[in-house]
Amino acid sequence: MIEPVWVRLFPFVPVGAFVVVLGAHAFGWDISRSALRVSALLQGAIGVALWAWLESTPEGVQIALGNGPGAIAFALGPQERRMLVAYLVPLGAATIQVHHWPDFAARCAALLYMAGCSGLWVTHDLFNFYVWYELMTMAAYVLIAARGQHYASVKYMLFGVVSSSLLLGGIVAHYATGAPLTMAVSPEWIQAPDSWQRWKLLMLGSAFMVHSAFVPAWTWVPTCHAATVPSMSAFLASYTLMGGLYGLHRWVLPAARAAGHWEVLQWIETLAAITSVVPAVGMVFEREFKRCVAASSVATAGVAGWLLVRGHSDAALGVVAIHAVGKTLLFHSFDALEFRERTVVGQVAAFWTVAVGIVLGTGLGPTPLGHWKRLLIAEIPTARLALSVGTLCMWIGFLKFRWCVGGPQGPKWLPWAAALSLGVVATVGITAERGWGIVRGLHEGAWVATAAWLGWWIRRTEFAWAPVWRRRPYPNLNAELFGAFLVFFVGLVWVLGGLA
Amino acid sequence: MLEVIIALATVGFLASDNLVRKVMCASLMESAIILTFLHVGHMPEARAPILDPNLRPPAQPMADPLPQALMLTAIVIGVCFNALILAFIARVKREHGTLNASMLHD
Repeated sequence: MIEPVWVRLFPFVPVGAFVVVLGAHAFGWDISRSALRVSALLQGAIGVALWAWLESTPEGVQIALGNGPGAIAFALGPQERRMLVAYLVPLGAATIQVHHWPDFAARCAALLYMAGCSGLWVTHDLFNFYVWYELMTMAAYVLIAARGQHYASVKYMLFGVVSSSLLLGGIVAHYATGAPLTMAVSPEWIQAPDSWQRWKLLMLGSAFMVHSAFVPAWTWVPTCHAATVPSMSAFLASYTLMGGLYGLHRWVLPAARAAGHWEVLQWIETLAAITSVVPAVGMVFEREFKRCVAASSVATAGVAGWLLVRGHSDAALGVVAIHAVGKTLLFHSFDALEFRERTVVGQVAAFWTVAVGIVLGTGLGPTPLGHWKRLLIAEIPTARLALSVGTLCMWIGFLKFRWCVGGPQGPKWLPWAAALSLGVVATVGITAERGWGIVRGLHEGAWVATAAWLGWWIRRTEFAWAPVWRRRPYPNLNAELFGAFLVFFVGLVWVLGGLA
Repeated sequence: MLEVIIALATVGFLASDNLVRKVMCASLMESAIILTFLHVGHMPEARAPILDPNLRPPAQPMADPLPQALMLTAIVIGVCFNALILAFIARVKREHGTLNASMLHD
């Protein structure tokens, strides 16, 4: 069994690799490719051991990095295992596809990005959470621009600066309550003045929701996905986007519940519910396949956020893990596919991988995501309509493309990756109660058939739809950025104005 | 006063069409938040937070080092962010021929 000392190494492996790469570069050697691979393999090995260790430590663990009462510490609980999957799955795929990051600078940024992602996951206090979060996003900005699409990166940076300013503001409000930065809930927090509590929850909530691309602050995600390499897209969808949900899970929701701020939960739940539908509807009108995949990630973030607010944090983090598997398969299949005007061309093996990715990502059939969606439906009657429309639109979004056999051969490992992913899904979702009988199977089959027919009809009548196809949800960057503030303004009225 | 600066910077960020001005407003917003934190953490009469084992604990309270540490980090991050985004904005100008946010779209 792993010793705690190894946990300390987890985020520092890529940092160390980065330092070694820079040192070697000073002597004219480029070892970044090998460093990236070795770092990913080491993190993978530590990650698997950590998974096993957390399995046998249900109460979680806290490890101080130094001596003394103020030493920085890492803290991990059993629920965090799901986030570990969301990090390790795209990491494994990126290790195989190192050629996606063709130049030295991109590979260095990838190492820093890995450090930021893993630090965010293990950190114990809000101060370090902010530092790792900034490291992760800063490296992501560079990686998104790696293929020369700087507009996408600038767009993400402008959304990012709104998010990090709000996060900083939230930290100020948390500090003003007199509560320690190491805990979301403490006696000081519960006794703090109501106004500071509301400001903290409002700011941190908005920061994390903008980061998770909740509607109406979601349009940066399709732009960034379309601009960057598949490995980065997989990371962005699987981990960075979901990092905002993890922030809500760690710092906002427990604090709101402990202090009895139910209006905060209602605000987040409303935006999460809207997010589970609107991007999915947008997929119906989306022309680019990659942007469709991105929109489906945002819709899934909405479902996970909804589950989180309703108190199903195990299920929500499970959605994050399963979604990571699905999105990694989808994005890494892009090397084996060719995209023409509303047509996807590829070999049968690649299509199978894509199909597994879509089924896992949309939660169809006896998949864990489908089960967790049904949890919400059983609890909230209106969730049936929202989630059914969302899932149907996602399927229409994917099935409206013409799928043709032919095109590039693609990497041979893809079908194996799909098989391995199903194994991971089985491991993660094994605890989910099934209850998926023949009636439900027929019911969901009917949904897919409807989606396929509607997709075919949209494709056939594409000329009639032409004006809608061309329309974007926001006319320009200014309007999109207003969406980021709208999340905050709605919260301002709802949380401070006592709308609820 | 700081609230007014934050509000003005927010309005400037939203209303300004020029990307460089947006970055300046974002920078102003972040600086105002940093000043707010220092204001919240300010303890009049407090001495510098330096531990000296040779000295007996004085009667004066010690200032909390956390706001300074966190804000220094935030300032460094802000400088890096500004450098990076300005470099990218220069590329956007070269690629799209404009810095006007109301004319930029996917």
